[in-house]
Amino acid sequence: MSLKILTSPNSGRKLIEELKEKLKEIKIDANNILLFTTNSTKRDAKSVMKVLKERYPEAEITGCNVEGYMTKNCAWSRGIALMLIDCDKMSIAHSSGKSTKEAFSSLNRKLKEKKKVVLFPMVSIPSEINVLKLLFYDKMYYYKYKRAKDLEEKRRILSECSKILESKMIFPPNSGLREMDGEVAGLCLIPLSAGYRTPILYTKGKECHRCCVGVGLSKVKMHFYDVFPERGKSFEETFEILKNYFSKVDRVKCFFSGIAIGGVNGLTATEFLKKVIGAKGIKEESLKEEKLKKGNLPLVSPYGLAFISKETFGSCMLGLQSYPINIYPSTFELDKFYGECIFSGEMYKGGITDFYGMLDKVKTDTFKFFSIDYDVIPMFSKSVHRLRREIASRFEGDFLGIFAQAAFKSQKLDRRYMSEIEKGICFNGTGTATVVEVDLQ
Amino acid sequence: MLLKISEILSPIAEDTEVKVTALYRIDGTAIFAKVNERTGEILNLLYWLESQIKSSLYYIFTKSLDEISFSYKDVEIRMFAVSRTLVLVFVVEKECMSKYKIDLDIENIIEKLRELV
Repeated sequence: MSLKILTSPNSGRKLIEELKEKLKEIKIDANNILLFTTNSTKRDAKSVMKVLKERYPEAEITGCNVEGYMTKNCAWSRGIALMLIDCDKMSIAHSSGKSTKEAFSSLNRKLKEKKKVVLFPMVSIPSEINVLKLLFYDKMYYYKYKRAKDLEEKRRILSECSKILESKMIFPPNSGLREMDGEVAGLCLIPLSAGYRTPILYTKGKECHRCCVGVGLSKVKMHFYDVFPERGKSFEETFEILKNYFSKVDRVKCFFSGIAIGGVNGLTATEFLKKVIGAKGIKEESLKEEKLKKGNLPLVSPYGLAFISKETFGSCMLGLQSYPINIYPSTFELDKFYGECIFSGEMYKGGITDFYGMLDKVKTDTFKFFSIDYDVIPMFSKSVHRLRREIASRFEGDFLGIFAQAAFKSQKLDRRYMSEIEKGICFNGTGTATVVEVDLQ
Repeated sequence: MLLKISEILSPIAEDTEVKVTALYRIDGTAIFAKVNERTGEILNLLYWLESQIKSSLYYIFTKSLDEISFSYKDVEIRMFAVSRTLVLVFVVEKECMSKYKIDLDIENIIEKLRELV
């Protein structure tokens, strides 16, 4: 197996010219290409794929649009990153489906390898018409929810709404990874600032929006890492650990089903956020006409709810933003979580240095591909370069890191991760990373 | 030299969300300037910037600051010291979501400019 990393921060004609020049110098005969575009180059994706096809007609092009990438020499949020791979023991498959179960189980059947990397849009913003439909469903289900006679009926209504959200917008990583066998590193795509029809995936040289792309691998090592202390052995123990970890902590009660949250302390999630932190709130008109059209809808927040798992007592964070909606969608399935949770401000105590630990288990001379929480861009911005320099100084081998949220499935986890929310399944809305180590010798 | 500078700055200078990208000498002379929004307000701002460069550099070096930023109406002016005589200036919208990403990218540009000068 051999591979080569190629990056360019440019876009448009400049990018295509630079790419053609750089490809001339590359001697590797790639049969698989991983393409990572950013917001500045998503319009150039077709031209880039055309250039790649001219140079490598037999190669399979797979990839996605990410928030940024880092290599030994740079960390950019613009341009493209390419991984040109010459490997026979690697398979690529893609699948789609109305439900998460359908999409992921189909992908699992197609990939025979025991180790897999799966790219999927954890949150995908659909087309304008579907956003309007979702806003209508939100009003309709909330109307029904408010008028429901008892808690059972409320839960049933939320469950119906959850199915709609899942079919149009969200692939919850925990539900998805449940359907997969072997060791799986999930790269959960979610835009930092969203527009209509984002994020984008590339498979077989074409763009798609609601699909999962899987890469089956052999002879690789995969690791998971989170910045949090180990989880407790009971609800109260984990609660205490989180209370000491986060800066501002309130105990709140949530009512939910599936991925739909009906209330936080008796208010809608948006009303709750307005009450507690005085958030201004995004108006519906601004959401449709301004934010989503310009691709400026923030999908990241410094405040969130930390849910505690009934199965493992691990915890997972969900960011809260004051969107003009009543039923708040969660990015992960909540059925295995306690109704009582923590409202807090997201903050890593050690800053970007908290992520240095993700490298502790990695060998020096291998190639490393990793995915690191996209929150680090708004949280630490240029300090991300400290992490890049640290990795470059510790290891001889080359690396490519992308900014996307990480999910992981393995039966052999090396510690009691706070983010292990189901047995063997790790996911957290913040502070996670996965590393795929490739031995090139 | 100028061609190289413009190549290094081009990834950000071409971004329409960045209203102005400029590289100033300590005396206030612009070595490179790309203005993506040509309005009277922006031109006034550029004129004002020329007079601020010297004092900004003084603060950056005497107070060991990494950068200086000013807010003016709906824009933010950010100044980064590249060397003892050069300041990199960006003007972006105050509410711009990609501000954080620009911060990440600027570090690459400053590194490359330092190698060059």
